[in-house]
Amino acid sequence: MDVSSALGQLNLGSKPWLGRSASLERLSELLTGRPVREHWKYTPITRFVDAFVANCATIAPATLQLEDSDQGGVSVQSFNELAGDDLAAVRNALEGLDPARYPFAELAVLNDAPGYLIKVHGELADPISLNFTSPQQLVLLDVSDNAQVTLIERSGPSAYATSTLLRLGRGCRVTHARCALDAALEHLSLLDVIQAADSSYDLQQYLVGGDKRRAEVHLVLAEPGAHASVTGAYLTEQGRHLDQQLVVEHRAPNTRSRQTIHGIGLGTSKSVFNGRIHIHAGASGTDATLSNKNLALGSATEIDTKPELEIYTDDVKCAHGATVGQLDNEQIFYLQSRGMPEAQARALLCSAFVRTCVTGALAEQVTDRLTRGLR
Amino acid sequence: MSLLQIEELVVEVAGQRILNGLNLALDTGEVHAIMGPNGSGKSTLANVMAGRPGYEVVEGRIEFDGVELADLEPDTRAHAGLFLAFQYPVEIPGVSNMEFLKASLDNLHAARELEAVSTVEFMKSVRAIAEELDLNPEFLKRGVNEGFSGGEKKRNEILQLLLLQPRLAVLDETDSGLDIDALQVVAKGVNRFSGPDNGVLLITHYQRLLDHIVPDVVHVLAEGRIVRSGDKDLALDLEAKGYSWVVA
Ligand SMILES: Nc1ncnc2c1ncn2[C@@H]1O[C@H](COP(=O)(O)OP(=O)(O)OP(=O)(O)O)[C@@H](O)[C@H]1O
Ligand SMILES: [Mg+2]
Repeated sequence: MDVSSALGQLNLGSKPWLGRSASLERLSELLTGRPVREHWKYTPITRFVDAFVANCATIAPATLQLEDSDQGGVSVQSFNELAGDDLAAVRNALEGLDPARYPFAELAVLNDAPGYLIKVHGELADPISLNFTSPQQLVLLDVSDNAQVTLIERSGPSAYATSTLLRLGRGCRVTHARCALDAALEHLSLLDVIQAADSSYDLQQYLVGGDKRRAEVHLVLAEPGAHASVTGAYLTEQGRHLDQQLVVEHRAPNTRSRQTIHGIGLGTSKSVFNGRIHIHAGASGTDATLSNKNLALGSATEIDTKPELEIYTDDVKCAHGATVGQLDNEQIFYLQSRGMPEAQARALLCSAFVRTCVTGALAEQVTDRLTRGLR
Repeated sequence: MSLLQIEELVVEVAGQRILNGLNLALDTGEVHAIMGPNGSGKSTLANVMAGRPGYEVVEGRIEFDGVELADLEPDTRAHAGLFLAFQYPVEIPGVSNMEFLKASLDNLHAARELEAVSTVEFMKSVRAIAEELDLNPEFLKRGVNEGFSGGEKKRNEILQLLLLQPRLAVLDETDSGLDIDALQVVAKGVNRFSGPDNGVLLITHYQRLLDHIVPDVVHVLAEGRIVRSGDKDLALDLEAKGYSWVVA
């Protein structure tokens, strides 16, 4: 099926809350255009369009599954109910997304994906759990100035295209644990975060490769003093595909980002890790690091990790490292010499490698899943 | 039958002949020392016994407890009761010492069909050994050998020796890099291990270790072979005169 006849089956209509309507021509032009092809080089997007339509046209939109949202300080509204400032906030957030990078956010919106605005005030005692169980879903989480919250996000086996947009107010502190641990599926996800002054954002992200999985993370340190940290681990098992695109933009002075992400590829799997740090003009005093280490354990395992730096300011600190290696034979021999069978020694070393990046609320679930995959 | 019987052993590493017709026999209840110049093949002998990949037995045999070792995996050799204290123990960040020691003990007990050790018992014995070796019990939480000083690494090897209770301990320069107190602590540990049912093969450069651990036999390894064997006085002679008088 070609892209425009696939799109023709979608329920594209006018979205009053968005203030615009879908144009089939515009969408198919977008999806087949050069900028999209560039961004989706390793995971050709046209493959997804058919599946997206098949997934989204048939399954009725589900409601948001949110635990602990009844505590004080949290409000949840469907996009369809919005008015005034809230509506403007959602429009703003969606219009700010680059359609060439994130065409599926656009598609999901126009295809009537269930969308929710979650607003958080004050210091929340309990974490908010967000479970993506329907094929497409959009969430905008608006965290007010000085609020504190832990967000736990899980993408289940029926998630197909999910977008999580976070807008962090001044001085707020957000911990975000996030995982997608089902392998036998196609999955597209977008996490888009914009941080105001002195806010602190701590992302813990755990993924396994899918039939095709594409995970986008876009962090913008928009105002001075904002601080982001990303800790992540991933496992791409035999025959799976994982394409990660991380962009961290430093747009203001004295902002800081730390990224440490470890990945393992098995068998004939393919993993792509594209980590871009973009330091804008005027963002002096920026301090940015990214470390991505990988183990390629099969003789035909493919791991492409590509550091990209764009720096337009002189007075910055920036360190960027990406490696792909194998297990250390000296370590394997040492463990074996103490009575550990080789397979167990390898599994232990692999889990040690990812464990250094597994932390927070999802640690136990993630450790279990990754250990199982490595046995 | 000897605990360890090595006959006419020829070993190549990276296509280079390192051991060349080595003979050695060690019985239970015995402590043997091996001395010899740098590069003479002492660590090669220890490694080939433990089964390090890349160390190829070209000729001859290594029999341990009546079993030919050459075709066994390193872990199977450990199950059979062989233990090598490494000259340069490797660091394994991310795997805690505790987890490593427990897994080692569990594997050995399972292979020897002994009853499993409970975590509580395990902790008790590890703590007791650590104390005996002057190792701060905090080290158990750290990665295996991670950031350990040279001396701490060597003491950690002896801790494993005392915990795992092998039949034959091969100690490759465990005394090198130790301060005077640590040397005594390590020697005490080895002496406590050594008994009528097991054997010790000590590789060392220094006669001073042999003041604390008295060997039954001292061998000189040179040019890939044992060129001379004698009692503990041989070590004193070597200390005084160097190797030139025994090495042709
Ligand atoms: N992987 C290797 N490739 C090539 N040569 C090797 C390798 N390993 C060891 N050798 C060589 O084998 C010889 C013996 O080395 P070995 O480490 O056994 O000596 P040693 O007697 O233990 O010395 P030392 O007293 O310095 O510890 C040396 O010449 C060494 O360079
Ligand atoms: Mg040596």
